[in-house]
Amino acid sequence: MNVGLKWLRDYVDFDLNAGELARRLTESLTETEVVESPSAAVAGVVAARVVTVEPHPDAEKLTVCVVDWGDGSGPVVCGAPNVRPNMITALAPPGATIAGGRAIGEQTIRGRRSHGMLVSGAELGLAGDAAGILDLEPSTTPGTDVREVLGLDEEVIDLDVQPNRPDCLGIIGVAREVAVAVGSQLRLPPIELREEGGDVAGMAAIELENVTDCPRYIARVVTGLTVGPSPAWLRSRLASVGVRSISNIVDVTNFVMLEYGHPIHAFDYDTLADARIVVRRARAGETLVTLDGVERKLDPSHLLICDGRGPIALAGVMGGGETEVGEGTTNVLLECAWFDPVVVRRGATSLGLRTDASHRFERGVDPDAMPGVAARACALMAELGGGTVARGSLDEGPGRAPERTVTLRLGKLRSMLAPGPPRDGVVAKLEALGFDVAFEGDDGDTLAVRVPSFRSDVTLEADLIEEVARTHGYDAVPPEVPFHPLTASTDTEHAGRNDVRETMIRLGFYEILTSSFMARKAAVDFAGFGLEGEPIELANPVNKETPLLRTSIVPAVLDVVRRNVNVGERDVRVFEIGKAFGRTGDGHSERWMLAGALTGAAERPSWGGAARDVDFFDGKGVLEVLAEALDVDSPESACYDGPILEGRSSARLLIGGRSVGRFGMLASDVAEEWDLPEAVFVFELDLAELGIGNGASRGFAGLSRYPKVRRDLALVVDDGTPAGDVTTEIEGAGEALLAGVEVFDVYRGKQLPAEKKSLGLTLTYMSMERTLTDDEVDAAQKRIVRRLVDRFGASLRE
Amino acid sequence: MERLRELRDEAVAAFESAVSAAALESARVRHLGRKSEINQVSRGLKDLAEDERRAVGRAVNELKNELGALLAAAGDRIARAGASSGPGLDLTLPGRRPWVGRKHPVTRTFERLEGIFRTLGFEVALGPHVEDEFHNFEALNMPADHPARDMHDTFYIEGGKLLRTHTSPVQIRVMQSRPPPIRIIAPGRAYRNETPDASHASEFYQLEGLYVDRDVRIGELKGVLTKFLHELYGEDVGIRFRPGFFPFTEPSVEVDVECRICEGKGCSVCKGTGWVELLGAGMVDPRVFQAVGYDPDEVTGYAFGLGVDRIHMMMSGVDDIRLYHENDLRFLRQV
Ligand SMILES: [Zn+2]
Repeated sequence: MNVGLKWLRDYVDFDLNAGELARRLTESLTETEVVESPSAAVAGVVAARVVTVEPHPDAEKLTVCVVDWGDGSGPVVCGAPNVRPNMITALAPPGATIAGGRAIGEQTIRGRRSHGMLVSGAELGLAGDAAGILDLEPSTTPGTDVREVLGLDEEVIDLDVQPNRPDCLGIIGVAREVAVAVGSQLRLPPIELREEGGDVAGMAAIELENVTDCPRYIARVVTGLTVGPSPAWLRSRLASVGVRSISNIVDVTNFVMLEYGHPIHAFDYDTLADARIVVRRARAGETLVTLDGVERKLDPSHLLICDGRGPIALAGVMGGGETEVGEGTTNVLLECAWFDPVVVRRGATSLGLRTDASHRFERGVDPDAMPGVAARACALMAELGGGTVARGSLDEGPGRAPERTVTLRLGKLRSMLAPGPPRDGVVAKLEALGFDVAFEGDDGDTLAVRVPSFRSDVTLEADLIEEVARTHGYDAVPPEVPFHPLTASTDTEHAGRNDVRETMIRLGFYEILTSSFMARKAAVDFAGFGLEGEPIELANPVNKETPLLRTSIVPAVLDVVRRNVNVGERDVRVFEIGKAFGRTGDGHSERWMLAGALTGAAERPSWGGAARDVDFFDGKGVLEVLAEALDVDSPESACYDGPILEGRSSARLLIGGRSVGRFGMLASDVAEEWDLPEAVFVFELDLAELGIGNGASRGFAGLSRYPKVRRDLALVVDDGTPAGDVTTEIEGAGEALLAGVEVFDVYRGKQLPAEKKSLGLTLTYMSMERTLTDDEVDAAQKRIVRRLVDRFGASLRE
Repeated sequence: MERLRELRDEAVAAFESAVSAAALESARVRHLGRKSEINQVSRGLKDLAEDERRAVGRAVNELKNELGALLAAAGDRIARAGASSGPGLDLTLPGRRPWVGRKHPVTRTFERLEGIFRTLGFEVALGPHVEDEFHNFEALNMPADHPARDMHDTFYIEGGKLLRTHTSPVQIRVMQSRPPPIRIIAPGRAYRNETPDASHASEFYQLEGLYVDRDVRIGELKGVLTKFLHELYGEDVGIRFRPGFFPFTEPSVEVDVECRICEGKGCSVCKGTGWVELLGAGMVDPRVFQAVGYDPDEVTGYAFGLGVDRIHMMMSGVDDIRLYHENDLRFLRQV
């Protein structure tokens, strides 16, 4: 809400500049800024009278005018369609500056000298009309600086008015807050209405179909008007807040709306069929051409103003073209109404037509102010347009502001604001804000506060506490050093996810955070990853390319890999911990996932020679170390034969037989389609299934004081025998001294028969009680070998 | 002869301690070179008596042989330790570095904020991203068709569900699940249907706080947020509490901190005001307590919320919020 300071001073006195006032209102009401005026650069532009207008001999669309600028006259070439003899307009003579800092010089246009240029409102930084030159009031003296004429010098502030304060969408409401902030008095505008016309009752009739949609409708009629330009004071008031001047009558409706915050509308009385106003819902299929020239298709959710024939306005949103006040209008029916906020909001939203009027009706208007608003508007119209106001008003509908009294316990106030202002201070602030305060009970500590009709937002004691708190100032509330007993409780899954993140960072991965939205193609391609079940559809995606909630994070991870490879990164190791979403039956589920990818060199590039590219076992190793760091209970890998991954280097991760996720090398056709490097390892795990953060610990088994003994073993087995089966067999052999087994070599080749491979194994033996002898270790090793020979048909490699 | 033993010990120590080819060469020059003391002994042999000359001569030769062998061994050792590509140790070559990773700046900011609020006694609570009208709006005193919803452009999904537009529904879920006192923070992602630009993202990060107990005062809210901002920006940062509007708090306040860019003098970041808006907060609206089944006459409380990505932007000088979503490694390595 823009407010010009000069205009504001019509209603309240204050001794502050714009910056100081903005700061005061920011502290007591809402964030307020000083508006940088686009007209700030305008200098040297003066009012001037057009004396003669001749066509330009060499240019069809140009005219050559003789212009009188007070202390001189001369030729000016002009291209505006609205230039005419005797009009008062604005001249930027050589040496002047217009909006945007453009300097004007003496110029010759198509061979004719031009003493500067005649300017439009837009060229002075005013809102709106760029098509024609300014049409100033005929009484303006040529030579007067337009800054003065148009009020360009006015300082303007912009208040971020919150939805609960529609009263501050009018300057009077802002002035009331200024009065409270600076300790001065609010001055309401005088309403000097002379009702010298006929009885309005004989001139028009109002019907309200439904008083819920329109609880109150006031109409007045003004006759014998002359539509013309507005006087300078009105134009400058409107210009200061960026509203374009249209005509005296339309300007009055805008002026009064900005003054009171209550939108009003003027109809050309003579265009109203049967002089009747009907407020009703639209019927399916009805249409209306609104003031902006657009034909609107209507349905019963829209509230209409109709005349005896049909729709003439969208109630509370915008008027219609047919009944618009124009140059030939002489009689006006003025509407001042209260429309239901929800009906206006829904109608405006469904038509995509949010206006200054709908903005205010949605937030709620003051029904008790309506007679005054209508009278003020008619008085101004009669004054500026030379008309006569009909006697009386048509006032339909029972809508009045509810009587509301809210109890304020000063004890409660003090306990919340501790210490809080004294009682007299509380009462003074509330009264200045327009509340009536009475005391309840005997202790003088309970106030009965009557809420004024313009403050429908105040319904609870808490609302009154806020009024006192903000006008008293939050600076006055002393901060209290918080002391709370510590709570031990921690979300263990949240902590577990932090552990996962820390481990991935230590393994050299960058954390990424990608969008929760996913493309359809990704959902189809990566159906084997992430959550089972159909993806959830967004009803209104912000980007039509990604209309789904992601079922898997992998597609987004691969996007990140590609993006980075495309800007020249070679080695990309990234992961995300985030949510994936999926449908389950009638409902949906969302689960925390870990997804990631690695590509490029297996080891960080160094000068010792180029490292090989990552392969399946680099990735698998990452997941194993992760499982180890997280104390995950005996993870197993099983064959994965889904799409996306390379069949021979992909797997599912199982824990206790349950599938926890998938990992492996991206299939080469997928890598090609997604424009990715050849070797990319991807993985995605369900973190809840992984069992993180369950607080389990392996427990402490003590430390042996005796050394470990290592024995290597080269075992020839069938190529199809999984190494894991061999190590599991060894671990399960029941050898009490065996402390561990590691695979250190896998060999296939010439020195072995076909279909055979050699496994190099290191077995570690240890005792808690004594140093082991070679004999007992050899014996244990022999028993294990014998077992492997029996179980796998293995032989020792010579 | 005594002196020869001393010379030997000095030379051995010098050869063994040499760690580069250059150091070994200077040790050789000093101990075995033409001007070395051993060489001087050798050259002085001719001045000795015959018996003595023979004994010392043999000892000197043995010593030279021994030291020659030790020198060669030290040379081998250094060569082995050094680069395969050149003579000696090139200390300018980089070491063999392991991979190193880094958390996303948003995560690091979350951790910092969580850490501060933990020390103030707040525990972490989380909630779903897919929410319903009740938890996201109605219980927070934002009924359908309320103009306050203008600021919450919402993503809807089937079945009338929606993506949470703020982390505030976690307040409702926690209060529904247990009686007061409540003291939680709720970090997480939120969604608004806005076309992304440099300062708006359709997915963003918030941290919500809620404290509910008996007789909670505005001064406590000021105290806890002041303490938080002092931890974050230092004790000398200017802090301003001013009126605000949120449907679920009454009174509502906005909390500004002094602009870090211009130190309060006024610049483009703070639009010349010297202040930057950082937090929204207020006393929990009694209607919110009613919605979760608390008695508003019995309990009071405060709530606050802040934009986590914005806090990082302000601390790091990043001027485009979209960078946080692009995950360009060059960005992640810098911030
Ligand atoms: Zn600044």
